[in-house]
Amino acid sequence: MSGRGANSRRRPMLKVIILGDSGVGKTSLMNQYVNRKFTNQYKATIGADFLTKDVEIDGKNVTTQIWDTAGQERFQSLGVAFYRGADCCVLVFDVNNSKSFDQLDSWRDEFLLQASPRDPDNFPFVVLGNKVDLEESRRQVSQKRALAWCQQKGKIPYFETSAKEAINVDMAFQTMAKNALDQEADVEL
Amino acid sequence: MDVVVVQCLIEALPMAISTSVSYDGRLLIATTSQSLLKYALSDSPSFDIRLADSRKDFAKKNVESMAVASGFLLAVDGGVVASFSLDSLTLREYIPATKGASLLAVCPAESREASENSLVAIVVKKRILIYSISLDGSMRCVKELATPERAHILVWLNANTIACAHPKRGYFTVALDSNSTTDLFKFNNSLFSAATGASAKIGIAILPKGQLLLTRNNSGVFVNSDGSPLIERDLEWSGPPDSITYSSPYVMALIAGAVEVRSLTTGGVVQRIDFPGALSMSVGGESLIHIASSNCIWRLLPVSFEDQIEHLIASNQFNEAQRLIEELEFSSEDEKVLFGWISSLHVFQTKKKIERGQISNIIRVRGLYAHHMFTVERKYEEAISLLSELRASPIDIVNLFPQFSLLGPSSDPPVTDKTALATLKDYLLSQRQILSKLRRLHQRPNNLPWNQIPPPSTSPLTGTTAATIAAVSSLFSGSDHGVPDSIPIPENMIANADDALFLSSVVDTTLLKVYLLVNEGLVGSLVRVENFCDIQEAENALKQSRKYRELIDFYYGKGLHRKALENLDEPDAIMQYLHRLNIVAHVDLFLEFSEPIFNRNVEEGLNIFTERYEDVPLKTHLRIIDFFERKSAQLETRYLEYLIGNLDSERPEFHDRIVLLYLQRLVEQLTRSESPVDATESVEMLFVDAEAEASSSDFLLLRKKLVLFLENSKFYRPERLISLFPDDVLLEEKVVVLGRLKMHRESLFICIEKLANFNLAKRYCEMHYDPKDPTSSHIFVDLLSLLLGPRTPTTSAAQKDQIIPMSDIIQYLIRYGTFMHGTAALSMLPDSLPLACLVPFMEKTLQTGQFSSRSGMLAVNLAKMEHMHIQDALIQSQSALVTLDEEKLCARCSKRIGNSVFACYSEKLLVHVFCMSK
Ligand SMILES: Nc1nc2c(ncn2[C@@H]2O[C@H](COP(=O)(O)OP(=O)(O)OP(=O)(O)O)[C@@H](O)[C@H]2O)c(=O)[nH]1
Ligand SMILES: [Mg+2]
Repeated sequence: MSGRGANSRRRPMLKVIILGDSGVGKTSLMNQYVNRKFTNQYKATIGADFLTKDVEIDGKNVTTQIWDTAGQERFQSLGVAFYRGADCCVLVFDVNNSKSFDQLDSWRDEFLLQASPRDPDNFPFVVLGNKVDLEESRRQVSQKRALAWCQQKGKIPYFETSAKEAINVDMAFQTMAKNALDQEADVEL
Repeated sequence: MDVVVVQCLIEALPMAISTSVSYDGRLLIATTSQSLLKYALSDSPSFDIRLADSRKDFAKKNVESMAVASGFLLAVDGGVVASFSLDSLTLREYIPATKGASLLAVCPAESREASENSLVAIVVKKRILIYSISLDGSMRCVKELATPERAHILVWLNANTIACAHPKRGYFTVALDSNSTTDLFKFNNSLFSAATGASAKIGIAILPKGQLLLTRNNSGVFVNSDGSPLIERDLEWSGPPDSITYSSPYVMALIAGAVEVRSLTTGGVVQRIDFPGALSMSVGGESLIHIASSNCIWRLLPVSFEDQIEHLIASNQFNEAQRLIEELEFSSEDEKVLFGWISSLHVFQTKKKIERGQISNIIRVRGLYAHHMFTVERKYEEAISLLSELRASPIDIVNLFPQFSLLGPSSDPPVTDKTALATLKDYLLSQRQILSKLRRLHQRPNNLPWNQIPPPSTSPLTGTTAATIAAVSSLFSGSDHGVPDSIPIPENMIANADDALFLSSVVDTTLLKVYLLVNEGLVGSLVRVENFCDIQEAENALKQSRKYRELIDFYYGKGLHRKALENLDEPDAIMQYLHRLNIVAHVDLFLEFSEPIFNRNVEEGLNIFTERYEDVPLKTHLRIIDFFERKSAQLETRYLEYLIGNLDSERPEFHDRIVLLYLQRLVEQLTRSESPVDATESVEMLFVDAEAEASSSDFLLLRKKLVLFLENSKFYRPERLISLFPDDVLLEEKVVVLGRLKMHRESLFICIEKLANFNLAKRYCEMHYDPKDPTSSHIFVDLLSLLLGPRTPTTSAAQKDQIIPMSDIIQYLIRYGTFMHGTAALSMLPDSLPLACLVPFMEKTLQTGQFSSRSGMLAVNLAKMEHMHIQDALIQSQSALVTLDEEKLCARCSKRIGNSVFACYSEKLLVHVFCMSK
């Protein structure tokens, strides 16, 4: 699915899958990153949808294909084939919603099962704690707690983002693409 | 392979057989010596044949052809057709008009209406005469058809069409109604050009779907009944057949004393049987093929198709087996197409035509084929994909791997091939998804027309249920969401909820074992997400692979916390595990397994119980307190401090208990130390609000804690606690409790007589003075009387010396005089006291008295003023003028006021007095 292999002349394609509970802002993050737009209106994603964006990483042109999934439906609606060939998985939670953070474990585990990467421990994940623009008093998941989780799961990069105010969004996706690309390089060696 | 077995009916007949015919369990044999033998056959209980009747010289000449119709036997006797009664075998008549007859054939019963008379076609030179036979046996010629040549072979295609063959001319059909001839195949055509001549052997076999097989010598061609050739097939025999016939699903030919059985689709030889000296082959009674030689008659019994299929399977000829089934059951092309769909749901929309047994037969054969592919050919991916296409149960697929098989231990070596395991893993993952949908389906019976779906095996599916299944599967597949790889739920998997659970357990348990073999990194993920792994098996597998962390996660997911904790011995691990648990539900485990943590570090142990997010009910708190009580008083105290200090518990029991614990500890410390630690100068600090100094002893700190608690807590029950306080020590604390009980005299007595602590007494009075409370309004006087009163004999020697100096008493009087009843205080003072000392006291008392009487007067006058204002306002209101006329209505009932008594509100609103009161 992704344009692996030395013989492929086209620019490499990275398949990225965004997972997380419903309403944490997956669609908003993707929209902010790709279209630089944000809306306060909530429309639940059904099934899955993707956008592509061309980026330059370390002087290399890469197309990222970002798959936004429905937080409401869990994995059952998407087949194994959907997860296969993913180069990176972005796990999103809402820092103002402790439950969405608790669910990260199961999102990660389900993803690994479906995608079956050869080396699950080193599969590139990125964790985004979203909606940091809201008042501090509403916050339920501290940066410390999130970082501890990421550390424990194998040094997953963690970003505190706001899709609304475009905080850290570019940076997060950039890192994600870079890690995915590094991983690919490792595989090819 | 044997598709037919031979049964000998007549063996070594001492006469030569000319021709024979069989019908309804009877066999008639005409001999060359013009005798007729009638045999009776029975198949049950066992095969039996016996001579039933015989006629000598029943014919005039040699009988060449016989047929049975409408209870009569027709025979071509020396070129003339004769009819006989079947029962009595007596001659009915000769039909002279048939002179020159060579061949006769009765129109098969299935080709005509039951009510119509039987038709028989008789070849007389280049004509075919059609006779109708009525029930009484009378024969009437109804048609005379002209043929281009004398037919050597004649078969009825239907009630209106007869197919004929002539070795030189070829094959043609004759239509009864139009008396017209159509060539099926003319021998000047190229295909048969190689062998023309009178000696050519010809044959016609009627196949299903109106097709015909025409043979001439070795060659056979297939044509439609209109003569259009089916060029994609033809057939080459091993020799020129004397006779051919079709017996579903094979064609058979008698070739040089042997019967050759061929598959219609492949044309291949299926079986060959020798019949030495065989001369003719025909379809007889029970639609069985009969073979006759000059003195023997055999018939061919088809091997049951199931046996044939078994045979093919046994020799690993799966494709043959499958083809056989297809040939057998589905002669129509449309239906064959269905087999391409056998694995898809669509089949159910058109399936009515297909018998369920046939489908399962095919599935079984293909399943066995897949099995063979897997175990013998080692085409793992193909085999598993074929099986999953067949919607085989996951159990079948798991059983392909002896090491995972549910059939128990097997002697077969385990399948360790990487591709095989990877394929199995992918298969199991996809099953996991299907099963999870299925379980959700079972979980919500209300949302879905579940009960409308009949169990697949019991009733045929109607259009509606097929639609329902389609709806159900689309509902749970992502297909309508534009998501790739939707997974519909296979129809045969829509079983009951228990089956779904069992299958889930098989799939997940096997997946776990596969992961342990091929990708250990995913074991953790599997045991952490919702899974249905069999507990015993998963346990064993994980232990065997030393996956202890995963084992703990597995237990956690399954709620087997006791097991998990039993497998942990590191205090840190236990601590982490307990922190994940809900203390309300699992308090027993907390109590039971916290021991090692306490042993290492008491603080950490306590943390397990105190760092909780849940709302813990009283019941749980009591369990924990009980636990700590038995463990240590210190822990119990710490926990109660947490409950009261952090959780703001207002339970009197807790408050009482903590006081008791503090007291016990203090008393204990007192008895332990030789000299009482009770240093009077530091006692003052007990009641100072400031933080205790670092230098203070533990004992003192604890006392301060207790005093603070006793003063601040509103929930302990002093009446219960007071009796617990000792009489001679910790008196400062006791005073606080007595104060709570308003036992002021006792308190002050202790302060003065026992502790000789005047400051404490004063502080006490300040705290408890309350002019409105009869018990607390005179405490300053009470103290005074104590100070001035005689010392009681109980006063200890040490304290006797510390008599409070009179100057202090006078200071006291001056300071607190205003809170005392002046005369009562004065009357207590000793006469010896110089009056001058009392001036400041008197002044103050008088001032206070005056002040209060003046304020009283001020209040009285203010009240009078207000009274006058109100009276003035009243007079004003009452003097208001109201004019009444006919139009004035009551504001309440909207009726005229008229002459009624009325009231007037200030806004000039009028109401009836009657209405006002309502
Ligand atoms: N304040 C704030 N609101 C946000 C942010 N990101 C998303 N939202 C809001 O949160 C709601 C849900 O956002 P979505 O992006 O639709 O959530 P989702 O994760 O795609 O949800 P599903 O499609 O149901 O899985 C919307 O109302 C957004 O406007 C953010 O960074 N800050
Ligand atoms: Mg969305």
